[in-house]
Amino acid sequence: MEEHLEAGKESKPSSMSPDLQGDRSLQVEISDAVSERDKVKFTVQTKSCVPHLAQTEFSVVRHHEEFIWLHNAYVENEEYAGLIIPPAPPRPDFEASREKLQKLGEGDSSITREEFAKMKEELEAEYLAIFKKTVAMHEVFLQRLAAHPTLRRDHNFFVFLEYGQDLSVRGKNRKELLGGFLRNIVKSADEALITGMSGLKEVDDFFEHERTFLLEYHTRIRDACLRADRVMHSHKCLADDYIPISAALSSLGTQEVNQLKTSFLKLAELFERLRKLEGRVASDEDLKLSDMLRYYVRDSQAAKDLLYRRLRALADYENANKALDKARTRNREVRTAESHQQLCCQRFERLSDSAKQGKPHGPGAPATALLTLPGSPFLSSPELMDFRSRRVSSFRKNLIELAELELKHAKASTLLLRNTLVTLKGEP
Amino acid sequence: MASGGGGCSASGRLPPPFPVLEPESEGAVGGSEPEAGDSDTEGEDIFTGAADASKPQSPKRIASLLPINSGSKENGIHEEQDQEPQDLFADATVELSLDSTQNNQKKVPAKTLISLPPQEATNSSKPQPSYEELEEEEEEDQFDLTVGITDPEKIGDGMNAYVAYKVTTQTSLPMFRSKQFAVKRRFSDFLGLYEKLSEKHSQNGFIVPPPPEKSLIGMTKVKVGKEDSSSAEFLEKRRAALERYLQRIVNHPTMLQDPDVREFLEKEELPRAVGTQTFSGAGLLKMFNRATDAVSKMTIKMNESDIAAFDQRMKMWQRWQDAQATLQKKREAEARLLWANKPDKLQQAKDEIVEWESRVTQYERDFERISTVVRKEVIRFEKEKSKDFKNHVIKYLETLLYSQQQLAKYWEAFLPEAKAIS
Repeated sequence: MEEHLEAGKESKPSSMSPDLQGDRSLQVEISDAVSERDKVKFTVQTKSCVPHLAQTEFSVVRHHEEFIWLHNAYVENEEYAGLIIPPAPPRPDFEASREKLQKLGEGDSSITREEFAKMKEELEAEYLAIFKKTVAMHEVFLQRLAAHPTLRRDHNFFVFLEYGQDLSVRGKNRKELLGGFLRNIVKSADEALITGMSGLKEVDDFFEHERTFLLEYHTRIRDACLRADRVMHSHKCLADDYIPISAALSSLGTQEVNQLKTSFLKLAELFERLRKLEGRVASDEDLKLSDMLRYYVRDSQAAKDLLYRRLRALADYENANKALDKARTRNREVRTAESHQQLCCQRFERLSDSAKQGKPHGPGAPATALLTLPGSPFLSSPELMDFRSRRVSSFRKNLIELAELELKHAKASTLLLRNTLVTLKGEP
Repeated sequence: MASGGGGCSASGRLPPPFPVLEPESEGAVGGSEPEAGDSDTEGEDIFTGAADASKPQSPKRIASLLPINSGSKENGIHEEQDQEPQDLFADATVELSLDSTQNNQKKVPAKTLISLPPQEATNSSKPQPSYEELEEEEEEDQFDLTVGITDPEKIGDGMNAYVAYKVTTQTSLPMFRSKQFAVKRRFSDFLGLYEKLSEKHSQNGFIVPPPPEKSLIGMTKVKVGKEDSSSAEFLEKRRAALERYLQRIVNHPTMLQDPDVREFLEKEELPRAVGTQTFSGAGLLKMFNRATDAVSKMTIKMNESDIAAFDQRMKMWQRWQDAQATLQKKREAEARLLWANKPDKLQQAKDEIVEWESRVTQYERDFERISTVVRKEVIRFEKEKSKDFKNHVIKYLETLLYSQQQLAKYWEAFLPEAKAIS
């Protein structure tokens, strides 16, 4: 029932240039996961041929906060400012499921034993599904990192993969959380300011276009995700509601003794089967549609972040230019102003290039010289282009699978209903 | 075949067990002996046709036991028919069925109706109508009248507003003025009809179908003018419930004869039924999703009116028993007087005895009558319930089927689009 989200995997082979040397694939997967009281512990297994690493195969146990730590390490690293950082996996959330199980446990005595068993079974399946999903999310995160030519070489990444012991990463305390929250606000305000600034003109049409597109896309996909969630939820509720209906009908059926009895029992059976079908529809929709949408909400946010950073760099650059001019007129601190301006320029251009053309540069290298550093792989797919192709192929695959599954379920339901109708009508 | 219900021997002090559903083997013409006291087991297959053979006396028996005391109310049609007053059912079948000539043939002038209960009970040639015969009577009661309720229309404003529904009737029955007609009725009119009907009929053991519940919350929302989906849903539910209620009334052969019902269907303006104000009742408004909404449409309510029918029967029996007890006492008194040798009081005692004897007989007859009626009613009810249930379920499943087919169609159309993504 569960598959791993292969959002990024599709384009990975194409993004690998054939002339890679020494940088063999780094295979990361989560081979096991255990759910303990509060936490989920993931067993991250790595197989690699990278000479840099000590062994070729090793595994460690990590928990969710460590993933977040890794993600933050990437985000805060200036070097990767020009790249789309894969979005962090969402926190494993079993609350809803746990609550429901608890409520069922205390629950009322009005439901029969069979009903109770069925509902418990459903809830357990739900719990299991959530569990599998969170494993998949964490795995995709790591796999995208492993596949990205630049990001995979990060030191922190290796630490994460290799270091046998606990990384002693603590979750953010309240102050840090608040700080993070405020920073987000500042960031979005900043973004609004920058874009609103009359002076700042986007130098590149490409980026202008991308930006408007991404903004629109992000809001739309978020909306779509919410609605898909609602649809899935109502399918799930429908499936759950069929349980008491079916139980009531079968108890009615056991009471009657005549033709009506068989009708009742037939109906009870029908609803039981319909319930299973609906349940499957719900879970398929969840996997193929909701999850995919949710992932791209986060991914598009990451892309937006990239664009923001670039814009910020552009603003800095412009400011630096102005400062330089001012310094020149005053003929004071020209040197510092110059070097500052140079830095900003470089950064801006680096980000632009990386986003557009995807040529990674080492820190400080002059952007205007389109030199490739020795040893760094030359990539043909730019970050944003990459994002697009990833997205398109993922949508395609998931939507096709979703359509096929929905079709299959609809046909099964039709057949089921038709048969029951024939039987019911046939009985005088 | 003797039936358990007919065993009203004078010596028995318990009311005859009400073998509501005497189990018969499927399709059997009446060979097997029904077991008394086998409550709740319906061996008879309602859906298969009833046995075709029937004793000639049975319809007479039914006819003879029909409410004689109901006066002129139900016998409105008799004015047109010029038949014997007791043969209500025979009239009904003539009137309502299109091709139930069989019933007419069965009709035997019901002259010898009044005979003492014990004799009737033991007389095997004139048994109480068996289950399947009763059922057969019902089976052939086809009639040509359909009702529909549409167009809920809000009239008035604010808290004095009400919703008027259009009640359309299509019929070929001669007792109505025209073939197709429609009137406007409001909810309190329906309630008023129910009150009138239950007043008249539940005493005789008829099960009067109950009207839909009053709902304070729902109506207030509608009155206030809240145009949201919940008030629309409420109106739709109420409309469906009213239609079902009216359908059940007209399906009931006796109710259909009632001039009040006819008046309800035909008359332009009804006097406002008082005492049916909404504020007296507290209604429940539950939110169903569409699936369970359809299921709720399928529930058949068997409520107080039905229990009332059984209670009536109990009361009748009680009355009869009391009368018998009194008779006994009177006899004892007479015996004592004889022994005490007081001739003057003796005559009085004798008179009283005679009087009480006749009362006893009367009550016993009443009891029999009501028993039969209740039995018939229950049979009708069961049958109607099954039929109704089945129809609704089939309709519901068909809508489900349709929506699934639509789903399949849309997904099929979508698939090539998905494949074309690039």
